[in-house]
Amino acid sequence: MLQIHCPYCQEYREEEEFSYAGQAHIERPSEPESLTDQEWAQYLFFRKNPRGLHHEMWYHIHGCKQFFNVCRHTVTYQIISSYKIGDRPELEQSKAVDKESINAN
Amino acid sequence: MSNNYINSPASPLAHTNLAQLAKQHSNVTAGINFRELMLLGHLILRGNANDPAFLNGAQQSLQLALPITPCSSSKNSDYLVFWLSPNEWLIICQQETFAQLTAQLTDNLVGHYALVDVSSAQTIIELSGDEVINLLKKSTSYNTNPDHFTIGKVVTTTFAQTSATIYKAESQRFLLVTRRSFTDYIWIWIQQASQEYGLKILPPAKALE
Repeated sequence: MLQIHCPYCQEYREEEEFSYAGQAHIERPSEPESLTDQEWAQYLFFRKNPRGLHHEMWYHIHGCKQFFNVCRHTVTYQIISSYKIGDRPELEQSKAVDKESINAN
Repeated sequence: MSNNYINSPASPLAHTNLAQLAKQHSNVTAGINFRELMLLGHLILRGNANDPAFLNGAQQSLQLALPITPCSSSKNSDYLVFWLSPNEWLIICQQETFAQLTAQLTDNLVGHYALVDVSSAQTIIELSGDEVINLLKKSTSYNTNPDHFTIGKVVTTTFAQTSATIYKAESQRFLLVTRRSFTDYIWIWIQQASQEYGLKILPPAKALE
């Protein structure tokens, strides 16, 4: 079980209080009508599946009912940080993936 | 049980006849005491906690500051207020003061806010007794350690296979705000979970204390 820090309740809660809500920081295109079909499909359907850090949304469905962002390592399941909707992550994917440490695990 | 609760509101536990059970239990001593705080006024207030005008309007109506610290509560002789989320509070009062409170809030609040009467959507179960923390340990994943779950704290969390808002009123007295449709399930759960401690039913009350 994961222990997830809810940035709104400001404490750690058990994973069973939460539900997963998909990849974070997906921005809706400001002018969808000007996109090509391929770009629109990219926005609608294509999601990351990294081996390493993943920024994702979680929903505190049995708690304060807020969505928030979590930065989680998909190999170790370690949660690096959790932060409110609208905030930027502390670590960006490109800087943070440490392939050697993943392979060591 | 008749289903005319629209005309005369009934507790979701009305069919269990808690008052009759309480008479049978009057001489019993048990590790868990169960009491329903029935038919109270439950009001959801939503608004922007960063807006001083909103906080001020709520304070004038309640004669009480809204708790803006996560998982905290505030109370006075008339009202018990729970923090539910950063922009949402639950106000509990007696049914007699409910209309007056709603009118005062409507008068004092300005701008963007919401008031929702959820009185008939939920009820309150009071659990107390020497073994109450052991019962909670079985029922919820929340940390019930007294250093962590302090008096006055209120958390919405899982309870058995459903969820409940749990308020710690005293070191061994908790209030559970439960959804109406899940209250019967929770009642059955509590009966089974407290078998090893003994369960005493107290007469249901229509007041907070």
